[in-house]
Amino acid sequence: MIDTREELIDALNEAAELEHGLLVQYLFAAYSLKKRLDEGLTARAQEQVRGWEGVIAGVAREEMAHLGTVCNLLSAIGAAPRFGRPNFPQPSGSYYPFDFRLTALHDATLYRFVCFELPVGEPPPDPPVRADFARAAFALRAAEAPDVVPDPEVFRYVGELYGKIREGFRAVPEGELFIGPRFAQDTDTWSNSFRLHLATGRSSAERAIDAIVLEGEGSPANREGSHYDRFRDMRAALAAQPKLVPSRPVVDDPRTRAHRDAPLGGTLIEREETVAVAELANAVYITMLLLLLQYYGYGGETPAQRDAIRSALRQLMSAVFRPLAEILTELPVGADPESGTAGPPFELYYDVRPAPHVDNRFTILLERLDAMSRRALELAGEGGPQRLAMLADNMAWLRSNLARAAAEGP
Amino acid sequence: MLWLHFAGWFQCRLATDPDPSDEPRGVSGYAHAAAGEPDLDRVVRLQPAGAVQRSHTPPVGVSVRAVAVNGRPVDGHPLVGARVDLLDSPTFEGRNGIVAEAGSEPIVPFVLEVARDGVRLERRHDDDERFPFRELHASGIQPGLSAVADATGIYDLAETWRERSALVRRDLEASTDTVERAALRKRLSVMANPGLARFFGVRMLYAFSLRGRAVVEDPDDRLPERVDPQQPWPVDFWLGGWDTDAFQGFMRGAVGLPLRGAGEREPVIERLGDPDAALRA
Repeated sequence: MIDTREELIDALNEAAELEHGLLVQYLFAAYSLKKRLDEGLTARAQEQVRGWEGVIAGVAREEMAHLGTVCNLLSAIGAAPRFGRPNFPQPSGSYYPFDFRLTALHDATLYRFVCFELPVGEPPPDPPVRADFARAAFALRAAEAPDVVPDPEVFRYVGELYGKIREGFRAVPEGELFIGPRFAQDTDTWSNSFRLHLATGRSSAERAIDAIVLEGEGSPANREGSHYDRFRDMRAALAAQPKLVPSRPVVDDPRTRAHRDAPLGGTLIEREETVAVAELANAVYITMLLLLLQYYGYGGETPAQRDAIRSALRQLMSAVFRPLAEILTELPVGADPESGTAGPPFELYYDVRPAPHVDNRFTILLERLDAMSRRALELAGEGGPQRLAMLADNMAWLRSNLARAAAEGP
Repeated sequence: MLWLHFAGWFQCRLATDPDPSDEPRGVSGYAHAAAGEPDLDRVVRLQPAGAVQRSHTPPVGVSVRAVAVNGRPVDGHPLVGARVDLLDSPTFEGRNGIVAEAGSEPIVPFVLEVARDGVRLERRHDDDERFPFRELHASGIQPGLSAVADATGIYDLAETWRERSALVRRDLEASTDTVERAALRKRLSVMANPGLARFFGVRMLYAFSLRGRAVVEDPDDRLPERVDPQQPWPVDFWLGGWDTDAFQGFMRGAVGLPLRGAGEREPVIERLGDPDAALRA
């Protein structure tokens, strides 16, 4: 049971990791989808697959807002934002009660997505044909720990974890719990119709949690429009067209190297040119995390600087990372073109943390943007995808905008 | 100064934020290519060439509607009815807000062409256009329903969409082609969303001078005036009346062409920066 601030922080950290992990798995599947008629899609299928990409990207955006709301909850009780997570792949039972994997969109992927969003009490979906993706039974031994360390978190459903967090907000005295400054929380729409929730007390915290669960699972009386419902519908639609292959031949869990927190599994990208683009994508992803940490981990930035950070993050996501991810889904992982194509590995090479001083934070961001822009231009010039040249411009121009904001100073 | 007042529908088939600016089909924004249609390309087209004209939508085409010299209207001027175009496949350069937020995007490159019956005037904004394209930015989104309604004759786009939807529905009932049917259904879903009609009554205002490479061609000496390609040409226009179903908006504005003094000789064909121009003159 959650009944201390520390346990609540621990559980919210777990929720943040989960939301982060879910959203990148959703994005990976969305980016894997075919776009063009010359990829074997009919005009009708092209329209349908485009629609599916929109649905998955929409769910991922809502997960981003969930992550933002969880950071607000952390902030409300005096804790730091959490944007860390283990690398992929993570088999069920290691970190989470589910398989966490980066896979192209197919039935087994959608099965996993339905499991992620499965409401407590709903019957589990039919397992996929590919047995290796079947959900493994998972149970941790529940235990009570003394108050100086948190009890282990045990849950099998995302909604179950949020239920425990909700109980925690009820168990800890309200007057003691909410110590975080209001201004450090985020309720901006991010020009993306985001619905982030503010938590200033027990009732608003509970409303925020309820909203997250409702968006994911729907209510027992009405699941329509929930993530669970959308993925279930998509799975049924895909099953009705057995000849349709909606995704590119993207390999499972592409990676540029092995990681200590994910030593096994994954597909090592061997083709040099693809490794270079994948590393660039990882660098952009890590830069986005630095921007998120700076935005949510308020360190004295001016309101104008915070606006600039939020804009840079949104722009890096849409105008750089997504195109890079799409480029990767058409680049072979090995010398043999039949070896399959890559995708964005979402690799974390180290524990990403922001610099403690505002000036240094901006300096590091500007250095990274400069290096990434130059690298994109080099890769485009080496006979690489020409779309990279446009991304180089986008990063150089974004850097210029951010440098102006940094120069304003606190 | 010779002022050419132009107006007409333009088309720009573009993906919208948060889609990347080069997204070909439209995924996460509100704009999508329908089944069977070519990819989106973001090109601002003032003329039908390359446009994808959807059924029951106003025809694309911007032309000179009136001409004035030194403030006085000139009836029957040879450039009335001239085709107005933007050359070199210009696009709305927003880049998800990196260059400009939606509604303020510059059109890059900006190369204006006015042509009729052998007369051709062309001018580039700047021969060395660079980020952040500051001068080319629109001055933001301005409310302007009355101006848009006066220019287009459409006072309520939602009502126009209701009427158009009835025609599209009739086409849908008559069609047996699965791709066409999917495209028509997509259009109906767009027009059923009244929120998407909200962009109709707003305008993006642009005003700057064209200072780059100029071309003045009048081989048959049709122009009564002598246009000066050396001085900047001011251009002032608005884009508004955005119709999401058609991927079209309305353009209205004017370009000013400074005139040479009465005693100055004018070459038949002159290109700024062309070394032979001086010899010809």
